[in-house]
Amino acid sequence: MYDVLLIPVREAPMAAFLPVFSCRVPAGFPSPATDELEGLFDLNRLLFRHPDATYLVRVMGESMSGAEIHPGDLLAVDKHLEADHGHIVVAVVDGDCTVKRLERRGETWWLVPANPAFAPYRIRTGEELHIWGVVTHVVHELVPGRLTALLHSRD
Amino acid sequence: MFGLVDCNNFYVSCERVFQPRLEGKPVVVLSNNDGCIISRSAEAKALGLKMGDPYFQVKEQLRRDSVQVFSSNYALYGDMSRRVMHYLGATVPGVEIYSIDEAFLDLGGLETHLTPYLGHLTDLAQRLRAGVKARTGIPVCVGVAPTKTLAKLANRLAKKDAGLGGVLYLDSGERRAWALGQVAVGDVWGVGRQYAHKLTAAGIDSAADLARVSEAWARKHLGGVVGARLVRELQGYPLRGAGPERGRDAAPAEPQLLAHVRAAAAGAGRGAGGGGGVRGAGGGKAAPARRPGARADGVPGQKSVWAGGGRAFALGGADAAGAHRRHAGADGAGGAAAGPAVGAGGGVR
Repeated sequence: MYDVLLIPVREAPMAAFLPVFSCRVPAGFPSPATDELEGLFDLNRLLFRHPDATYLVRVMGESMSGAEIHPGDLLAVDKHLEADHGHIVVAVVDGDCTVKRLERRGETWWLVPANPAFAPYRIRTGEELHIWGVVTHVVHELVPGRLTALLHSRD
Repeated sequence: MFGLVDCNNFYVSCERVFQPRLEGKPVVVLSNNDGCIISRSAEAKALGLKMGDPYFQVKEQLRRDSVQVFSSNYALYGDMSRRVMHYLGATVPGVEIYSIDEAFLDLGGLETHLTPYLGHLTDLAQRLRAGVKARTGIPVCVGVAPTKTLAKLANRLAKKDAGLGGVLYLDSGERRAWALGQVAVGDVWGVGRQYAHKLTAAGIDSAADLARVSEAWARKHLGGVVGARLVRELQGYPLRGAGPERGRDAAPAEPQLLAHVRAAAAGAGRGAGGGGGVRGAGGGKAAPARRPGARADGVPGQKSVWAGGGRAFALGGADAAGAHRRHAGADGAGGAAAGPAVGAGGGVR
């Protein structure tokens, strides 16, 4: 969160609609796809529900690897959504931003990492917890390189 | 009726959004090539640092007082500005972007016709303030008045007096008179340094004094019709920006706008929560009370989106456990017939 890297997002004259196929792809067994087309889908509408309030940030560290959030992943963070129990949030602890799961246990709130190597953080009574935003999506590259290339090609 | 939304210490506020630890600390932003100070946090102002101070002159003081110094990052400020303006544009009938951190709002007709939906204009202004804060983290002040010049003046006072809660609406003659008396003539929008000298020499010290001069005097001593207009604006007669004022009766009648305004009114409760986050976790009572409102307001929470994603891409089931994702993606790519749609789905969980 410390190095703010602005990624210019081109004003799309036309949304990049891709067809959505109604067949499901089971994990483990590729099945022959039907050619039923359900409709056109624009990924931006998924990622940017509140375009004014959504920020893309990159992940550092392993503390959320159990939640499939890995170093280098791109997170869509919605600053406008109200954080609730169970949300993965960007929280500000002692002035530093951190990605954790927000949990309510009885009367106390916790910031819980998804990695046993890290300890959960209990929000002390009276401490003002500042939630920077709610993580709505993770973009994880399965074929690595493209994201970094896009980020560096901005000049 | 006009509003003026002005971001507080805009460049500094932008830097703070992404570095929360700078909250409450003195921060300055320098101009291109680190020439001089162009934005100061309240703490930096309190240290006596001035707008336009050359960096090389105050370098020593900045170091001594451990002031955080930033080179300007206009790409960042431009992006944050766009977010603020876009939100304002989607919320009120008309917006005139006046500078990177300021915008005039055309609020014509809102009070007359839409009070049942919007409440008092002060409430609307408070909601705008909370809305900008929730979306961008940037604090703003709002001045509302019958003319642009008075809106500027109201904004200035809203900034200065923390007791006003960031909003000042000059809705009555008494309030306007009071506000005019608070502001020095040199701080009136449109009065430059030369005119300020001239006016003080003539015994006109405050905006209130200036509002009392005759039109003939203004025409003679304040650059003709421009000066006369300035005085009229201070008196509360809108002359500047006749453009946005035109058609103000027609604008609120559009059904789309009405729907939008109702939605905004429904969201009022949430706006009042401020900050957009869970605060004071120890209490825990206020937060649950707010949540149902947030849901009803068309923010269904993460679940429905996930479900939608599951239906569209269905990689190993809607709630594919994390461990399955890699396989699922790989299969998607392997099942060539599924084509680009599944490829995209594999990338975005």
